[in-house]
Amino acid sequence: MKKIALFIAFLCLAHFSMKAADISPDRQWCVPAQYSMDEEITWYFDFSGSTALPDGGDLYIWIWVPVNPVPGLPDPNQDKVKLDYKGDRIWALTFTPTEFFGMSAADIHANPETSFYFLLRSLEFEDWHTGTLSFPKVDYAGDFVKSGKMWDYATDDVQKKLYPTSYLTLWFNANLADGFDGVSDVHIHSGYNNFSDHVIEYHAWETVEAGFPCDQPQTACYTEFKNLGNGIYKKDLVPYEYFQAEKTDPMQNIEFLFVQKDWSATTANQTILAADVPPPPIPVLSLFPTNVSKFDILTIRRTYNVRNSTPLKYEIEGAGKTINGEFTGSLDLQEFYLNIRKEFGDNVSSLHIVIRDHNDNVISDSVKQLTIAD
Amino acid sequence: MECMIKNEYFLGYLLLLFMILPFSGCEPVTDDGSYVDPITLYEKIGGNWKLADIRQVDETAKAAGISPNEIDLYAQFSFGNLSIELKTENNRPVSYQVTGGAPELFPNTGFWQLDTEFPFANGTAPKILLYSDAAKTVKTGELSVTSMPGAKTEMELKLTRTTKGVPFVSYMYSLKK
Repeated sequence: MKKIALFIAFLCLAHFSMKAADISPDRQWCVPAQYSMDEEITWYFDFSGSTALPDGGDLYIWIWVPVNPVPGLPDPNQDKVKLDYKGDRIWALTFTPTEFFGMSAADIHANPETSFYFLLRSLEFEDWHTGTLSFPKVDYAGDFVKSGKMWDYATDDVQKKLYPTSYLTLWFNANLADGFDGVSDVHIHSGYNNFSDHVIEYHAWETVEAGFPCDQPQTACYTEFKNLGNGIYKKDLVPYEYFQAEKTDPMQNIEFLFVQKDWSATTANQTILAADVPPPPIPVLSLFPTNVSKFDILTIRRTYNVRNSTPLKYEIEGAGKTINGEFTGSLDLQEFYLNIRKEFGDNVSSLHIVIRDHNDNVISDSVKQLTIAD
Repeated sequence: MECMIKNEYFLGYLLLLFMILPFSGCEPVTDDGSYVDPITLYEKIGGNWKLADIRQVDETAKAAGISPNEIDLYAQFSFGNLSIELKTENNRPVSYQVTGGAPELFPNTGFWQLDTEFPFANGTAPKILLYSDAAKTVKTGELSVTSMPGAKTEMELKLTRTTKGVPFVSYMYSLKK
């Protein structure tokens, strides 16, 4: 009798373990990369390697941190927690956290757990289910403000690697940018590879018909940041889509500047390097020789210039005379040779040297005292 | 066999004669007591020199061991056309002239002489002293002859600028005839 009971128990166990198939996502990510809790977000799960889950098989989220909006399954509201099948063995759940959980953003963050904890399952738990999964529960906007940075970015890669296909989040704190006081609209003026390719300009002066779709680059809303209030702005984009490039187009970097609505204020140019692109050497401006008299030749050189910054320009004043011109050379070495006495005469004792890049950004503004030769 | 030995003697005498002949015309003119100037540096240094290269040396950086402390200026301005003519008369220095439109790092015209007519025994570089007047009383500069013309008619001159006696920049002129 005891043997029969044991055999029945074994059969039950075998039956249960055969039916309950563990599945596990090969990859999961969130779009946008960083968000506030009142924004619509999408969690993606790639189950390429989990053969127990059929293509397009039903998946539901069972979440318990911060709360479970649908306490049990099956449930009349179960569609709320059902994932969409996106094809190619990728499932996704799109939701706005505050609405989904029925909680304020503050309450979501007040929960002591630092992650959203959940699992994914079939309607019948035994058919297939994952183990415990999580996404970080972070107050990204709050963290950005606390960082004290004027701008920052994140991608869907934990190491912030940027590819043409990355989900890029840009943050901007207008409170820390000169000339942006009281601004309501902030735009991005940007391009690939130091504005050499795929430039998306912000044309404040162009009138765009009301209701024109924001997916058209010529609209103001295409380049506009989302205003999160209190001077904090955010923009999410996928580079190759936003810059209307092919996925395979070479992307060394994205260069951009934050622009006030009417261009009355801008930040300096900023750059995000693409993944696996080594950081360029730091440009070095040098004057040769160290000490120079009015009888000598002064050479001004700048190495490792970034694309689209050359030719550099000089403006040099000495003894009441000012000369202007452009450097010559390559990106790696821009140079300019000055025959001091020929340009400024015998009365020159110092030179006021201003170097600008091709876009008139001042690189250097200095005074060179001339050595008095014996 | 005897004939061959005689021929060898004959050829030997003939060779000796050819060796002596060249000296027969070299009767020393000093034999009569007249004086001939010895060969001086002016014969080597005088003449028209064309610039082959010019380098500017940052003497301050060089003294501090900082690189780079030298750049080439040959391709800049009109240095490629620069010529220096150091005129002599009867192997004595008279005037000089720099032509070609390159920056005037020392006066383009004037008068010159060396601080020595013969090489220094200790190897010190002779100097070309530059003057603004024919009487050579107003000195306007000096150029060290850092490489003397020899088998090759090439010379290197160094213009050094100092402040309170300390060099801060110099120019190395590589010249050839």
